[in-house]
Amino acid sequence: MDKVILQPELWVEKYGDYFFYFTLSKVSDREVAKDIVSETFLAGLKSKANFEGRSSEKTWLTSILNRKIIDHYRKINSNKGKAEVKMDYSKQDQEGAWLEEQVSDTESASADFSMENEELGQAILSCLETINPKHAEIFKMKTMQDYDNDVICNEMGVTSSNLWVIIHRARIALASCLDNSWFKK
Amino acid sequence: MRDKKFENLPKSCQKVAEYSDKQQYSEATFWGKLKVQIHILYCKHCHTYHLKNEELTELMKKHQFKLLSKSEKEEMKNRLSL
Repeated sequence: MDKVILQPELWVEKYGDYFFYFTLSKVSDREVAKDIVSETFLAGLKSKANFEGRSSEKTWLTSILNRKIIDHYRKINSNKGKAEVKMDYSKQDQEGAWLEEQVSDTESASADFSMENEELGQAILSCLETINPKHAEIFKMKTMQDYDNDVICNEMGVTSSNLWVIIHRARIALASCLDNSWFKK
Repeated sequence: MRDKKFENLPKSCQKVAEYSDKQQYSEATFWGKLKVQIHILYCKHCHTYHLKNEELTELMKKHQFKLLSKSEKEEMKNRLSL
């Protein structure tokens, strides 16, 4: 296997969205997620010399990102102090109420759904990393960020008819990649 | 659609692919949609593409994507001094 060479100048464009999405699903705060992703790239840049090239660039950066997320939780947990558990079933007529609360667990079904949804999002973004970067960017702007055609054409320097050819190619490439990754699961 | 390049497709199929794509973003005209429906009745190739296209749209709709904006990416690059 060829030794992997780091390309920090491409990190933000290539992995920025995926890492941001991944982090946001863990911390649920846009600004915090942005900071963690930035710190990950900075840490990667600082420890560039330690990269041995035996894993992919993305795998290496993901391991840094995971550590940054854990650090974030360690920091906020030490600030928050101990978790508070409140139980108040002192009256006679409330006896057994806790059992009902356990039964009507509507959260876990939605948790399964959100986990699958999260994996799907990651699969889509990973697939977009494998296609032509310009096509991927245009596809994201059009499909995921709902930009107007005029804005996309201006920002990306493409004509309106070219835009639809690019969207077409991106959709084919994405569908084919998802066929191999997501639907084969 | 996977094994054929867009440029190698007959002109009519290229047009139908464009209408089908526009339909996914609710940007196809009534006539555009009608042309797709008629064309896929006899063109298996475009029929498959149209179905796949709709499947992909459904999948994308399932998901609310939160991505970095262009300015946020620029800000991040500046922070990295790249």
